[in-house]
Amino acid sequence: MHRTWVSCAASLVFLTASAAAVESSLDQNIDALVFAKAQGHKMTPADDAEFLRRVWLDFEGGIPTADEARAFLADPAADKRAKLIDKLIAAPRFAERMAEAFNVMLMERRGDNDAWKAWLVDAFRSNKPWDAMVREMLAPDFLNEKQRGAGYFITRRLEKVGQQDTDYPGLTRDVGRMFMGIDLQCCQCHRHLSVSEYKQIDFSGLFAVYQNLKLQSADEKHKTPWVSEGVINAKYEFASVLTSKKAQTAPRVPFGEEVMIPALTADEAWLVKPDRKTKEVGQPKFSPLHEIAQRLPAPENPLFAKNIANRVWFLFMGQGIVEPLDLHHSDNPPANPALLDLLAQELTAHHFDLRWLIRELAHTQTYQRSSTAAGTHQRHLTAEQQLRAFLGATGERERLEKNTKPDVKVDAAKYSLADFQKAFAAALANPAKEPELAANPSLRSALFLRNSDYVHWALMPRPGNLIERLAAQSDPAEDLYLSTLTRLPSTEEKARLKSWLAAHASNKAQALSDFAWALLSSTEFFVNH
Amino acid sequence: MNPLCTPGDHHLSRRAFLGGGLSLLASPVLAEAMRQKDKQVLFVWLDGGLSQLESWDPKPNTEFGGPFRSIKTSVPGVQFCELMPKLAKQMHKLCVVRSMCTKDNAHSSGVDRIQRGDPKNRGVPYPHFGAGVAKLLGPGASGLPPYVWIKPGSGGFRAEDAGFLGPKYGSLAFGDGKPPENLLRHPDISAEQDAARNELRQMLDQRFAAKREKRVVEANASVFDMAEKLMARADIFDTSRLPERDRDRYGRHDLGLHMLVARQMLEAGVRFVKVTSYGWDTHGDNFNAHATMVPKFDQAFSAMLEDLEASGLLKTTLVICLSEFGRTPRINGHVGRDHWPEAWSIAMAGHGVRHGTLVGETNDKGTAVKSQPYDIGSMFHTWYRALGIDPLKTEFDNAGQPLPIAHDEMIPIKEALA
Amino acid sequence: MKLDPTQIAEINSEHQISAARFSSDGSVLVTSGYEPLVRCWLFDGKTLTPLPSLEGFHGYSTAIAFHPKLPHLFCADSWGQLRCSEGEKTLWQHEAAHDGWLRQIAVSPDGRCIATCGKDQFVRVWDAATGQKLSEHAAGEDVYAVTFSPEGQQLVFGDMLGRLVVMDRDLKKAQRTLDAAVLYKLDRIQDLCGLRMLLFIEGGKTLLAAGTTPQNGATPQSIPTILHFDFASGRLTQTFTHGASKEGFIHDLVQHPQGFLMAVTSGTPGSGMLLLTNPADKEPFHVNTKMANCHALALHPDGAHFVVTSTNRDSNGNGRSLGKNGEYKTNRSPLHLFEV
Repeated sequence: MHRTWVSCAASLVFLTASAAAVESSLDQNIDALVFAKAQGHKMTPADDAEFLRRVWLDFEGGIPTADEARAFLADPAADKRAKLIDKLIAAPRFAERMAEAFNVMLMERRGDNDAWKAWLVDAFRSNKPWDAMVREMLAPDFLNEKQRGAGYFITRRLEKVGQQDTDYPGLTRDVGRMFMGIDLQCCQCHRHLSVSEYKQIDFSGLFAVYQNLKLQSADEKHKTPWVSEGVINAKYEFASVLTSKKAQTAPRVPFGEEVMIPALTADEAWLVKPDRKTKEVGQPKFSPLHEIAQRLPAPENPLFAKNIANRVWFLFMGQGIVEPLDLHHSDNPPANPALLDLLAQELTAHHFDLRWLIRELAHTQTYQRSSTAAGTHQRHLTAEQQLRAFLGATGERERLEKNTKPDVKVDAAKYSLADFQKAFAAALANPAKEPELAANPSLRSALFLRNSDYVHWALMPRPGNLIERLAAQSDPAEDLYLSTLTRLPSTEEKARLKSWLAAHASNKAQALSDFAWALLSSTEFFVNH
Repeated sequence: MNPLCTPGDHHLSRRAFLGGGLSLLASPVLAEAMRQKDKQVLFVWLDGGLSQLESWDPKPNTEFGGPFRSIKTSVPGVQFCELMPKLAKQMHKLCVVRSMCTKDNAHSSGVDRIQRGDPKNRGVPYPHFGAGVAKLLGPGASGLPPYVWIKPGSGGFRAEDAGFLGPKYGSLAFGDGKPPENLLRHPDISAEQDAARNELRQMLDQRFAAKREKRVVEANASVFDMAEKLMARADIFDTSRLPERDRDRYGRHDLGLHMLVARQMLEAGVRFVKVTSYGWDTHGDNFNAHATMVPKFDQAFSAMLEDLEASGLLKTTLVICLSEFGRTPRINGHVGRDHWPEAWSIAMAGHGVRHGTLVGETNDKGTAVKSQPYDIGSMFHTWYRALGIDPLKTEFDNAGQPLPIAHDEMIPIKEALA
Repeated sequence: MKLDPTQIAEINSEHQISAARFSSDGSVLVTSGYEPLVRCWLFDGKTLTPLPSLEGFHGYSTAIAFHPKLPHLFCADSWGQLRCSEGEKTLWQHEAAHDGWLRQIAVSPDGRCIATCGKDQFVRVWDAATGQKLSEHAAGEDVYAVTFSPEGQQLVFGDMLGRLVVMDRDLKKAQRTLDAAVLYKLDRIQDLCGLRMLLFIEGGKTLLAAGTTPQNGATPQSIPTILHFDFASGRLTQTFTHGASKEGFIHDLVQHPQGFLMAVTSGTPGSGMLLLTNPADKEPFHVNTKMANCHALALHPDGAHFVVTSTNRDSNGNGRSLGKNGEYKTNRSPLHLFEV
């Protein structure tokens, strides 16, 4: 991994959290810290084309049309970049794009759920603060129509798979990974063998909470599967398989204080008593689920802010300040500790307003640097971005969106958008339950691009699409490059296209289709640079 | 409760292997000597734990021996369980080690430890034997993926099988032995068109890489390359043209079919072919289960050995058959046998292995190894040696960290080597 | 019909038992199991005391059946031996009545002949007195159960695929086949046969096929099942199931003279039930889950006593778990004597 921008070095002057007291804005402070670590490497700003494409992919999830691209590139206004950022953040697509990215990050392609996706979109549309989002995920209100979708984070992970036990350890581990950036996997049975500050009690304190949940099926009252809690009236006992030493813990946020378990008798323990006859599962007065949901996503838990700052940085910069994103500990420190601290503190001060942080990041020179400079990280497009960009480039998105009844016999109605989403995800997405740090190109993706009917169909001339439009032009180079690569072609590239078309003059549409295919299969297309 | 703890995953530096495709061989001289294109490996994995008492090491009419009889094999003095009549006739080709004694009796960790050789803990995940062979012997002249896995269920590329060697040496699984989706050229695209536009794509990539870091372009280039090689050899997946006689000999069941695909892969020159059969974890109804499964394994594996010999491939192919452990002599209330790493068997054949040989023995009741017990580390030593690789002179290089290719406190099983 | 049997004795054993039957005069209980012996027990109304065993078997002793009137015992083993004995004396014996595992023996109601079936895919009929082989039939699949019809003219056997084949007792022609294919499943490369017992009730009007409806291979998890077939039409009239998927198989099934069915089940280690149910009912009227992994049920001819054999509770475990003195021992099957 090329980490020249964010490599370890000496400590820097630490900037305090109060935004008002600091003279420069956050984005300037970020740049200062990044430059300091860069040790003199020059950071060339991205040119307009690079910037345009990057910002569209990151904020809209796709690429602009040729006309939109041409307009931006020709615009002489000095503040056009800032204006574009604001425009894209304000657009409805922004919430959808963020929901998509967070869905993959939080659920790791475990499956689709409409209520969950709707909750995510709504959260980003209304700019719900991140701590509120996490509270809703960690202690879902299943009776609230607007919030029950958030419960999918927990309920999906507790679904039984075949004969295996309910995966309480997996859920516990993921709460640590997703919301605090720590992977306590190995601490279930003993202290972490390689990370000295992860201890078994850190796992067990969380595990005590989640193993107390029971997955319930949807019913009249609860429209989705939900979880009930049992009574916890004693500390959770655990022992190391290495030392056999016994210990106990109350519910506890990792590295935090134990939650006090109230001394209640069996009778007093229930808010709503369980009743076998009415099939009432009961509701305890003491809810460790809610206790953790209050304490984990809080300013007092420093790893909470650091985790989300790191993840948002990763989403937009292509590389986490801590990597892997869920392995933050003293032997895997942030590449730029001061930067991470700054982001975490600023975000906390702004009450975990993600939209604010993202806007600040987008304004940094770091974000707007050119990828041609040595050491910059290029990231593969996600399957969703690739699809959206592909359909945008080939001009087929609208047709697919409108076609709800696919008919194999009619060429124009052959596929629906859902067909394409499924095919692209199958070919290009990482397998389920794996963090999508870097989507590796695979044999499957190469074969898909080369031979699949989806790609082939989209590149056939059809009213309104790219190939049809290009075939009618005497000099299609500009339109082709703007539509696919969001930039103008160089002289050399124009000449190459001309000679290609001349060599395949017998079938202009096919020649254009093949050239477009080469552009759309090239690394330049499916990397965010 | 499923423990998440999988000791094989205890690693310090994930970063090291995430980008670790840079590992090089220890010395250029050895590198050449080892790039011998001919040698191949067939690795048959019976997942769940084949019962050694119902297969390679029967104890008929004893306290724990179960209901089955034993039968003579082609090697005097050696008997197999009656459920393996065909392999009994081929014992003269085999080397059966009956003295395996390993440490792990859990699937979740045991499978990993056995497939990765359970070396001393060095803080990095060790590669599967297949990934190690892919690395040390290379893909071979065929250019096909070096570590191929034929298995029921889904296919796909598994980078994690390569451990610290880097994703390039992961296993490429073909689910149900079927070709990957989109393997064949689209019917509406001619070969010339396909070649021309792909060449154009490559040129565009080269221009792009000129100004940027090469790694991403190279990763893409290598998968397109692999795709092209596979497309050219799509025939290795085509079982439709196989003679009916072959389908019958291997058995008209999943394992038979998968073995046939594996044979085609080996014939095409794939370096390392792993075939997995699932469902051997018979904690219940063990005898009836083995009664229907062992004969099918017997049939498929036996046909494979015959065919490898007939084609001459057996001389240059190392054949290995094993599970993650054996099964308990004691029979539980579900009429099943539980996990038993204490005394179990592995069978081998082919290149570098002494054929018609029994190595080691268990006691009369099968409750312990009577002779020198061997851990899986010894097996890795033996296998590498059989392939002509000296584990004492060869190392892996993990981004500057030299690592032994097999457990450095163990030695090969001399009696098993030719 | 409501009954509450009570256990009056538990007799230890140092070995595992798979089948148990009382002699026709009720004085002796005979058990077979995971050893090359057939054990005998003296029954005095209150307990069971060991008698000398029958030796000379190989592998596992498997099927046992008594002659309806004479004091003759027919038994078999997993290497294929078939034997007829009276007390300790062997009357006749075939070392290889089947090639390998002989699974069940059925005795014709008139006591003139016996039928055997096994893993070698054959059904054979023998003269009960002399042991002469009378006829045989190649079934084409592993045969798990065999029984005579109550009037004795027909034979029904059930194979791996859940085919219940009806033949006349000289095995000349298969008359028809009842479809119990739900008792079969192919999981990966494992053929799962859920059939364990065939039993006629209601004077031959109904044929019961008992065992389980298999769901998965390797470590099977499925629910104990009894299929009721109207024998004349071959139609499946009722499917009785009881318990969770851990409960596994019905291993033994008998009908009490008062008409109710008695079954024992065994599934995952620790599970196990004794079920008493009226044939037409959906739910059993008596369930005893105190015994783990029950494999055999022997009903005394007096109808007032029966024996259930179970397995010790800690029968499973990975690795080499040793006893108090460091020994590695087999599991055991306690015998539970009940009074009705």
